[in-house]
Order: sequence, then C-alpha cells, then structure tokens
Amino acid sequence: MPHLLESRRLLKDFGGLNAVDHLDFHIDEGEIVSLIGPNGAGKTTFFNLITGFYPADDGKVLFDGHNLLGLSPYQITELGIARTFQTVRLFQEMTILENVMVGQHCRGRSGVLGAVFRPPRYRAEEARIRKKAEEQLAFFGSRLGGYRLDQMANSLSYANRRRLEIARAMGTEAKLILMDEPSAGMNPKETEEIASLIGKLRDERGFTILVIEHDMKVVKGVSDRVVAMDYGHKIAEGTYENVANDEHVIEAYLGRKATREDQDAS
Amino acid sequence: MLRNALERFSWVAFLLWCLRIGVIALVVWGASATLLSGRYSASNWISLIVAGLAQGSVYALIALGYSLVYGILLMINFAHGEVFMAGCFTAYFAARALESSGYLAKHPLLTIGALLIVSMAVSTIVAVLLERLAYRPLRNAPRLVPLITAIGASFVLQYTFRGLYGSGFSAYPTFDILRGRWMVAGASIQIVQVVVFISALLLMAVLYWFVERTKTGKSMRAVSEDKEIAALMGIDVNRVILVTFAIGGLLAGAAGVLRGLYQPQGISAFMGFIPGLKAFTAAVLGGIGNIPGAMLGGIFLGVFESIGPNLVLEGLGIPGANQLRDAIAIVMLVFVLIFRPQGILGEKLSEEKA
Amino acid sequence: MTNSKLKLGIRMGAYGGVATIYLCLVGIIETFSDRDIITGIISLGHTLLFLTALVTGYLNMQQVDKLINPAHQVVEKAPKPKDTIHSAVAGIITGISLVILVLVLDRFNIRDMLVNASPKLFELLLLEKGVTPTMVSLLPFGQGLAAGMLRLVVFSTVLGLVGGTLYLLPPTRRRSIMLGIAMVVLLGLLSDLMRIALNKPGWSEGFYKLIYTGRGLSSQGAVITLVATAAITSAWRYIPDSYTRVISVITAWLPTWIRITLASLLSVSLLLRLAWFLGIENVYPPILPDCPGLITSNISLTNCTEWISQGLSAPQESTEGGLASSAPAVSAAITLADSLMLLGIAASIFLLLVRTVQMSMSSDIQKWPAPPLQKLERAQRLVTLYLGVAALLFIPGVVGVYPSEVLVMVGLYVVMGLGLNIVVGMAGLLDLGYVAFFAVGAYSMAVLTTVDASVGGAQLSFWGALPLVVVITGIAGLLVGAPVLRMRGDYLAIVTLGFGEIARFLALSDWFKPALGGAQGIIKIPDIHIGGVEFVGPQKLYYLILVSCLIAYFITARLKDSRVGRAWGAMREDEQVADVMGVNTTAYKLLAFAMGALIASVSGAIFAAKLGTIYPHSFNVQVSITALGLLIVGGIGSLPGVVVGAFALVGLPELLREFSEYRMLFYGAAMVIMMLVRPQGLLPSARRGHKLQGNERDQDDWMRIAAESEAAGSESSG
Repeated sequence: MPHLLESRRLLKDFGGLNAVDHLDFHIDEGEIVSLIGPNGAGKTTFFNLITGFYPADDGKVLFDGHNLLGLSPYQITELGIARTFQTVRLFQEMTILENVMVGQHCRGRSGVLGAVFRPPRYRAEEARIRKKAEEQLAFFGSRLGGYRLDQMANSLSYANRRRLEIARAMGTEAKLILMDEPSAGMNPKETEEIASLIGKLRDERGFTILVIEHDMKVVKGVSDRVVAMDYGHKIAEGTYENVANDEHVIEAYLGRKATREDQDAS
Repeated sequence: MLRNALERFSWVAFLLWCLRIGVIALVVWGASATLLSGRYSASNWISLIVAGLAQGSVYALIALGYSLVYGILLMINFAHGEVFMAGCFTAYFAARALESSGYLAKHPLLTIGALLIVSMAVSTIVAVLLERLAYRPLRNAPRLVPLITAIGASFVLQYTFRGLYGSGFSAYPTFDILRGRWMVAGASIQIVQVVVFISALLLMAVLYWFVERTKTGKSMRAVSEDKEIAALMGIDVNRVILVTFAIGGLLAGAAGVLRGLYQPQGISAFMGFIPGLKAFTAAVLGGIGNIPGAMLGGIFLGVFESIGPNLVLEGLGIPGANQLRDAIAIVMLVFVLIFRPQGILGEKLSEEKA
Repeated sequence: MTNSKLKLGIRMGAYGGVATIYLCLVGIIETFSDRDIITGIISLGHTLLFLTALVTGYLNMQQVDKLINPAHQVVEKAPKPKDTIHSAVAGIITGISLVILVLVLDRFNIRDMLVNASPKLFELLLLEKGVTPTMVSLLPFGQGLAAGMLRLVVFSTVLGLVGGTLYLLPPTRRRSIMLGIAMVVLLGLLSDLMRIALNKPGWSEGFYKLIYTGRGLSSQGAVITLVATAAITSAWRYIPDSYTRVISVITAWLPTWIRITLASLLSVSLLLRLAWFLGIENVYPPILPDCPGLITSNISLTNCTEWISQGLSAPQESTEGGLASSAPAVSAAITLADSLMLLGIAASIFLLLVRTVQMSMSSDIQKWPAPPLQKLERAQRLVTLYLGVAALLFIPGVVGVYPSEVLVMVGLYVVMGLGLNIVVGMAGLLDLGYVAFFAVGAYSMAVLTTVDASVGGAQLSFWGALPLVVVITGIAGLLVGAPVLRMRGDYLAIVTLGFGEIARFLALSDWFKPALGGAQGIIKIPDIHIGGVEFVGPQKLYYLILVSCLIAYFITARLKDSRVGRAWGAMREDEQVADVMGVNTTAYKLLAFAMGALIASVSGAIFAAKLGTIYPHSFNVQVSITALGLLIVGGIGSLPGVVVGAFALVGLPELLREFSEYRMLFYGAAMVIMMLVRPQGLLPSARRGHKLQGNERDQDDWMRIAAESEAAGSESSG
C-alpha cells in the first residue's frame, strides 16, 4: 500500500546549512506520528517544505500520488494537507466563524458574479461552507461555539486561539493535518486536553496527523510512531519507547558532551 | 506527467520572464539605434554623464536618509523629500539676504558654508520633529500605519511651507566662482557640477566614517540589527533613532543647498516630492538599508536618468523623450522591485525584513 | 504635585502658543478672517485663534486628569475646580506667545520670508480688524498696541479657564455645550449655502432672516442655535423612541387601505415631480401644491379645482414631443395628487385625534395600540426606507444648483472610495496611485465618445462606451496588479504612487499626444442621455451619480460578505497563512485590483461626461490622496465610513471655497491625526471593540500568572 505522504531524500539548503538533509519520511493513512528533536533540528523547515512555504532544493514529496514539490501552498491545501503554526497565526480581525470559513475556501468555487447576484447555487454553497465551519467549531464544544462565533479572533484567549487554528485546519477538509507544537505555551491541564483532542481527531474525524511536539507526555500519549530528527537528519524512528531510549536521541537532547569526552579520552 | 507540469506552470513567472526579456531587448535596441545613428558625439555623452553625476550625488544624499531610517525602523519615511525641501527653501531666503547685502559677492565660499549650515539645521529640525511627533507614537503599530502617517505628514509639510513662504517659484542667486566650464577631452563640463559631485562625495565619506567608526554609529548598526537586544545591551534606542533621523536631515539639508547651486530655478514648496520619490528609487536600487548601496544607487540613477532619454527612448523613436525623464526613475523602481528587490548591493533580506 | 501641574500648564500653553503662531504664519487666520461666523462680531479667523486657547485649556485639564489618575490606579480621582487655574496658566502662556508674535511683527519686517506676516494679520491680532466699529469701541482696554496685547493675554487666559471648566462639567452638559459651539461655527460657515437654499419666497425666507444676516449668523441667530442645539441634544435620546411610537399608533389605528392609498398618492406625486424635473423643465415644482393661496394657508377647494381644470384644459403649446408636450397635464396631475394627499392626511390626523380622545376618555390602558413587534419593526423599516428614498430623490431640488454640484463631487468620490476600499480595506493592498484607474476610465470614455475629430473617432454614446470603458480599465487594473504581485505592502504603496504619476506623464507627453491630446486634453465629450432625458447640470447628474453610488455600494457590500471577501480578508490579515489555507493569493490580488479599477472607471467615465473636457492635470496625486484620506477618516474597510469620509473630506471643503488653498494641508493633518488618535476611523468597520474583547484575554493572563506561580512553587518545593 502506498504511503499517504512520503518524502524521499528531501533537501533544503540554507546557504551551506542543510536544514533538512536528504530526509526519508513517510506517514500512512490513519496514523498519528510525532516528530521530535531539539530546537533547530529542521522539524518546522520540514513542515514548510511539505506545505510549499519554501521551495525544496532536492528530493521528492509524494502525497496521495501527487508530487508536491513546485506546487503553491494553496494547491497543496487543495490536495488535502492543512497545518497549524508554532506561533499562532490567525486572521486577527476576522470573526471566529469567518476564520474557519476561510479554511473551507478551497472547497468552494463561487466568484465575484456569484457573490454579487447570489444565485441559488451560490446560496447553497455558502450555506454548506457555513455549516461545515460550524461543525468544525462544534468539535470544541462551547469553547468556540454559540455567541463566540461572531467575535473577533483576536479577542480569544491563547488556548482558544490554538484551538481555533486547529478548527481552521480541519475546515480545509484535509486528509493530513500537520500540527506545529500544539501544546506550546499551554498549562498542564490544557496540554492534556490537546493530547486527547489529537486522538479524537483521528478516531472520530479520521484525520491523519503529523505533530511536532516537545512535551514528551503528549508524544507518549498520542503517537503510533515517533520520528526523531537532528541537524536535518532522521536519527531514530519507531515506537515511543524505542525512540526515547535510543542513544542518538538522548545524545541529541543532552548534547554531545559525552561523546566529546570519549574522544578526549581516546 | 504533463498534468504535473501544467500544475507547476505559473503564469506569473512566465509573464515576468517575458517582461524581463522584453525590457532588456527594448533597452538594447533603443541604445544601439541611437548609437548607430551617430546623432550624439562622445563629448555630448560626457557632458550628460557629468551632469548625471551631479544630479545623482544629490539623489544619493537624500537616498541615504531613506536608507538609514529604513535600516533601523524598517519604515519608509515618505516625508523625507519634504525634509530636503524645507532646508533648500529656507536657505534660499538666507542666500537672498546675503546677496542683497553684498556679502555673497565678497565671500562666496563663506556664503555657501552659511547656507549649508542654515539648510542642514532646518532640515534636521524638521526630520527630528517628524520622528518625535508623527512616528514615535506609532513605533509598534502595523507596518502600513506609519506609512500612511508619513504620507499625511508629507502633505502637511508641503502645504505648511507653501503657507509660510508663499506659493511662487524662486531661484537661488548665482555664484560667479562656480560659473565657468572646463574643457575635458573635447567635452565642456560645468564647474559647478564637478564641485557638487565632489562635495557630495566628501559628505558621504564623512557619513561612512561616522557609521563605521564612531560609538554612535556602532550603536546605530546595533539597533538596526535588533532593537530589543540593543536595548538590553544598554543602548538608548530612542536616542539612536532620533540621531538617525537627524543625520538623514543633515544630509538632505546639504543636498538642498547643492541642488540650489547647480540648478537654481524651481525652488518651491513642492520641489521635494519628485526628488524624494527618485531618492527612494535610488535607495531601493542600491539595496535599501545599505549605505554604500544608497550612494551607488543615487549616482547610477542620476547618470541613467541623464543619458536614458537620449540613449534609449530616442532610439525607440519616441517623440519628446525628455518629457519622460521623470517617468524613467519610476519605471526603474518598478523593475528593480520586480526583478531584484534586494537591490544592487543588498543581500537577500531575511523573512522578517523583507 | 502642584509644581508638576504648573509645569504641565506651562508646557501645554507653549504647545498652544506654537499652534496659534503656526495658524497665523501659515495664513489660515488671515484667510479665514474674511468669512463671518457671527456677522460683525466674530470671523472664522478669530474663532480659530480663540479656539486654540480654549482647546489648550481643555487639553491641559485632560492632562491634569491623567496626571492625578495614573493608568494602574483603581480608584479614580476627579480633578478639582481649583485645577482650572492651571488651564488659565496654559491660556496665559498661549496669550504671551501671541504677544511675542505681535511684537515681532511690530518691530521687524519678516514678510520677505514669511509671506503671511502681514499688516492685516497684525491688525487682526490686535482685534482691530474683522469686527464692526461699534464692537471695536466696546472692546476692553481701548486702542493701541499695549492695549491690544493686554487684551490678547486676558482673552486667552479667560478662554483657557473656560476650556478647563468645560472639562470638569458632567459629560452630557459638556457635550451639549460643545455641540452648540460646533453648530454655531458650522451654521456660520454654511451661511452662503443657506442663503441659496433658504432665502427664497416662502416659509424658508422667514427662517433664514431669523438666524442669518449679511454673510454670517446674526447675534440672535447664534443664541438661538446654541439654545436649540443644547435642547435637542438633551432631548436626543427620546427621539428614536417617539418615532417608533408614532409609527406604532399609525399601524395600529389607521386602516390598511388608508395607509396604502396615502403612500401611493405620495409616491405618485413625488414621481411625477421627478418626471417633471428630468423631462420637462429644469425647475422643480414647489414642495407644496402650487394652488394660489395655499402657501398663505388659505386653503380653498374651489380655488384648487379651478386651477386644476385650467391646467387640464390648457392648450398643448409645446410641440417638442415626448414629455414636454404633456407638461400641463403633469402639473395638473401633481396638483391633484397633492391635494388628495393633503386631504387624506388631514382626514387621518382627524381620525387619529378622535381615537386618542376616545382612548383617554375610556382610560383603559390595555386598549392603547401595541402591534406585534415583528410587524412594527417591518413597518418602521418600510417607513424609514421610504423617507430615505424620498429624501435622496429630492435633495437636489431642495438645495439648489451649487450644493447639488457639491453632492455630485461627493458622489464621484464615494464611488471611487468604494472601489479603493476593495483594494485597501478588504484586500489590504495600499494603493497610492488609484487616480490612474480614474484617469483611465475618464480618458477611455473621452476617446471613445468625443466628437472632436482630432482624437478618437469612435464617437460612441455614453452608454455604448461604458462597457468598453469598464473592460479597458479592468485590464489596466490587471496590468498594474501583475508587476506588483510579489511586492510587500510599503513597496507596493510607493510603486502604485509611481504608476499614478506615470499615467499623468504619459497623458501629458508628446508621445501620446495624437491619442490623448497632450496638455490640452480632450474636448467635446458629449453629455449623457437616457431616452429623451439629457443629464446636464449638477441637479440631473446627481441622479446618475446616486445610482452609481448605490450600485457600487451594493456590489462592495455583497463582496465583503462572501467567499471572495473572506479570501481578501484572509490575505489582508496574513498573506502567507491565507495561501496555506487554500487561497490563491496571486489571483485574489489581481481580482482586487481589477474590481477596484472597474469601479473607479465608472466614476471617471461620469467625470469625463460631466465636464465635457478633460486635462491631464485633473488626475494628479491629490485625487489618490483624497480617496485614501476619506477611507482613513471614515474607517478603513467600513462602507458607511466611505460615505461619511467623502462628505467630510470632499463635501465640506467644496462648500468652503476659502479652504481650497489649505485643503491638502487638512487632508494630510487628518491622516496623521487619525492614525495617531483613532486609527479605526470615525465609523469603524463593524464588530470591532467588543466588550468581551478584553475580558477573555485578561482572564487568560490572570490564569497564566496563576499557573506560572504554581509551577514556580512546585519547582522550588521539588
């Protein structure tokens, strides 16, 4: 069975520094994979390559039979990949509902004429977009629903902004959602909630999820598989236990001091 | 495979390539047509180039103001053209007073010095006031807010000076010592143009020394790298920004007097708009935020503007080519921003700065 | 504390002084002194002069308030009445600054440089000019330099004190006084307009004579205005309520057939008047039926019927055909409809009165009308709409030619502003060269329709050319949009500014002279016709502009709330994220430019047909700045804001011709001040500033702090 997303020898070169260095990676449909690694390991760069933010220098990214490299971000979203950002990036001066409705943008096709004359087809599409958006928001219960629908995104609390960002990604009707540190800046209770949310997203909504995460409790709780990166390379892969005990991973997190001492000794 | 290729085909990129080739072809065609027709001799070209150098050095001085401010605040001080106008226009009155008292005829060099002091002082005051009143309160606003403020301030300054000094056009007095011409290689060159060019170069050298060597200059560079870190290092960021505006003002004031020397006519409250736009072009051309870039960009723009209409446009058979001189700079700005937004000397700007 | 307040007063006074001297030397005081606010008593120039002292005193008090109530303080302290002394200090300093100016003017000749430092300014400052001789003799301290200077200081001090006191008043009273003063100034400014609009036979003449005299308000008019404004502002909150009440009584008590009949009679009468104006004669029929004696409220049915039968039987004089031949019939029909309507209204009022009396006699509260809320709301909406439409249709007839001309200009800018609002407000692309699209619209209309043989040649009619013009300008929008696609906001602004200038250079150049006429422009652009109706003159063009405004408003409002509008909004907020969320930003940028361009083209096309001749000089950067300025003043992205902004920035200065010299100064200042003080504009685009906005974030911060301290606690304990 082909993988849902697969990267082959993917390379990104930032002026001599290989942020992503010939990375082979894959994720299958229905999987939750965590991407871990110290800061600067190239995780976010990898996301940016998949979503078309940066052009890749070499390699391949295959998604659902399409080669993604060279496509614009909006085309990649249309194919079914959505993402959230490490630093929350909402459309601040739009309402919560509108934020998610923008996510539905790529599933609609009406243009200026439709908007001005509003034929039945336009109305039906608009109603559908609205309904879908409300559905995504309903996933978060009352936190983003009800009277909040018409509030500006910038009026939300930090945790709710993260939730809204996830709702917006869900709104694109993607197959694969890339989450960049969804628990960053959250308190322990909210982090726990996010972890259970990620599981629910797969189990109830059928999304495949690739998540960058630093909180090992979350990683342990949600992942089917963990991939560890350092210096743009994949250094380990497998179940949480395997990866957590991998010496390369420990080394990456704790630094090379031990190795250097070994070298000094020899 | 074909479908993939089609998905990757970008109309925008394609059109931009066509545009690029088209522009280069037009320039080459126009230039070769003119040169082959032999309408102008080598001495004509030399005169034009020297005139362009003088004009360009004035652009460069103004452009430095844009570039310095941009380097530090990442904002376009749209009203900088008016800073230039303020100094130039005010110094005109000093020049007239000194002329009518006969001082100008007796001590022309001292007069020029006095004019420089007046002009630079006024421009500096205007620049500093702008920063304090219009820009500082908006330091953390979204990017377009200070730009809109700057546009508003530009109009306020234009019409304030029109109200203060009147709406007519005035002319600087002429200086006899700058009047003559030199013959170089068969081409006649106006002395005043050479003087202007050299003075501008001197000023730029002083500026370069200031930014590279002095403590204030170093803190300016530190602030332009990262405001927060610079503040943590004990640099008074607000003071550095004020100094930056002041330096921009000083240079613009000097540019005002130099402009009055080689092109005495057309002094009015609206004289700053077009030079401002062109100096901005020059700053972008050289790579905005880059000091040598602004100098180079200004001089390049001046020379190209001087020879461009005759060299390219006439060759293309466009009548009244000199009427389009002002349009050349703008067209150049557009092409630079499309094809090489980082300018001649600029390195690729990081995500945040770009 | 007192010391710092004193320092504050001195500083504010110095600011006030600088501001006043600035106004003097820029020439505003002198230019505006020719315009009376209250005839013979105070000119606009003096008003501004003294207003600065008043405002200085007011602002000083505001600063004192801030000084004694720092931001973090919980309990608010009110400034005390004795603090007004500091406002007086500010006033004194302002006055002293003026005295220094007077002394300088007296001793030195600075006019060589500062053209406005004139003898007239000197006299104005000493209050010896701009007031009637009787007023001069009434002024305190008599004549002469020293007396004048003393007067300046005393006046400024008093005004500073008044300004400070004003701040201390309770908000409702303060607002009514400030509005009263503003109203006096406004009515004084509008005196010329009012003379045209009101000073004609009929009831309006009496009103005009009551409050105006000469070129400004009369003194009694000023008092009446002040009192009336204060009264109205105090009563203001009851007005919407009573409006609802009247409507509820009417809907409940008047039988439906009467209401429908009355409304249709009114519509017939109004529409016939419109037809009369557009098709028959260039004059509006008077507002009331033109029966002899009706105006003197000597209503006599016989008179009217006589007049009507005269009209109906009048010989058909005109043979021009069309509507003109039916003039007598139309006028008769108008009169008939009006008379019937008046009768109906009188009858209904009588009916309602009877019902009211019955009600109060029966004293049964339950029987008072209370129609279902939904029905009431619908009725209210209908009535408001009806009145609104009627007002829009009849404004040009009521106000006359010159104000209609102003309305036409405002309308052209409303259309342009709505188009620019798509580009700037919705899509977030700061376009400073918007005039280019206006120009392309005007020039393509001119070239396509002109009957001048030297350019063009298509000689189409306005309506034949309009679709072409829109298409051409839309393409121009794409052409401008394409190269700037990849540019960042501020570069985009400057480049579009450059495009605007290039458009003008090209129109001026010899290169395009054969096509565009060079500096002489294009002449002989024909007028606009619809059927037999020729849209000449501002009162008729008004209707055309009105329709374009409504269409543009409709289009932009619908776009704003649609898939396209949301895509633009996402792009405005964060271009990269919009792209990642599936918005093809390239296409939507181009679309925004094209839509903005084609809306501007309509404005340009009407502009060309209106003037009949266009020159490149009409299309300078000031047009772009005005359009942008009205967006900023109204609130970027807000559609009603565009209308408000256009009235404030185009309408007001058009009415005050003396302002034209300082127009751009005001625009610039308005842009700077709006950005500094109220970046969301006068009528912000909806939904901002929710009350809950702060709350959740505050709560959030609070929780964060709690969580952090908890974490810190557990760390230290562990």
